[in-house]
Amino acid sequence: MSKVISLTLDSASIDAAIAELKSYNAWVKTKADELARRLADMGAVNVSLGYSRAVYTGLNDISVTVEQRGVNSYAIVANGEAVLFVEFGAGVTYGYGHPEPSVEGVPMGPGTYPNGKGHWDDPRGWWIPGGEHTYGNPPSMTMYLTAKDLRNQLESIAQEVFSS
Amino acid sequence: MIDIENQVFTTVATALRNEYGASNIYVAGEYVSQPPKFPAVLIVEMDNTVHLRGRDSANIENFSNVMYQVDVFSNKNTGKKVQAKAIITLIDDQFAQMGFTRTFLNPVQNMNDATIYRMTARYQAVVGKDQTIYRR
Repeated sequence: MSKVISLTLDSASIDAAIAELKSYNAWVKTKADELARRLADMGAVNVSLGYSRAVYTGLNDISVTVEQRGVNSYAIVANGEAVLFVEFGAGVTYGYGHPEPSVEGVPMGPGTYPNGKGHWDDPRGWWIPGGEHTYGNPPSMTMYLTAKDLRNQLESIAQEVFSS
Repeated sequence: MIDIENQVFTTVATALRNEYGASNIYVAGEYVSQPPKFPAVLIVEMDNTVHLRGRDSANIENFSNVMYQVDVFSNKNTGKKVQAKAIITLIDDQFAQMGFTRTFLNPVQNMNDATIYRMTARYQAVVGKDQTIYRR
């Protein structure tokens, strides 16, 4: 992409070139903002779809928005208590019980109440504090994959924006 | 396929086992829902894709984008945060020495058992066919 500004060495031509340059400068600024906004909007759609389709057995309360953070700067923001669990996975459970024995000196396992008949190792899943049932979930990596996807498409999107 | 997972895992796991003793820390290269002991570290290669800008007509895969997710879990009654931070610092040094860039590091709640402290990090790099690691 190139821009040629021709001028001759007289004041009128130089003034015209300066005006043309200012106009080009404004156009580049507008297009740069348009490019950033386009990338953010595309990313937000992708992130929103990815999070809504992610494997997650709790309440999926994720909402995705685009926020302007400065000149030519936009952020894709995911809000909700489930965001980190969906993006990075649910984590682990104890495999053997709590390290501290109970008051009676009996070792406690998570989910072993009452009478040692809990469901912490149940293949059908278990209940977490708050009353939600879960099997755990793998990381969806939606933000990571979206960022990678946008980087790969950056050149073609920029060409599209600056050629229109 | 360019595959450096074994080297990466061995480098980090060896450093952890040397520091803490092999019997005192659990290190795995895949997701484990119930680690047999704590502290537990999971180092998982989550992404390995062709680096598009590195393609040529002779060989599509000259470079590869790799991303590792590291989860550190501590179940100590007191000092679990300190322990997790010490472990992640050691891991971070190893990844930095190999040429990786840390793109994420945060405490992430452990949904499946909130009494376990969890720190999650992600490291990215571009790897060449000769297994040279380039910072992104």
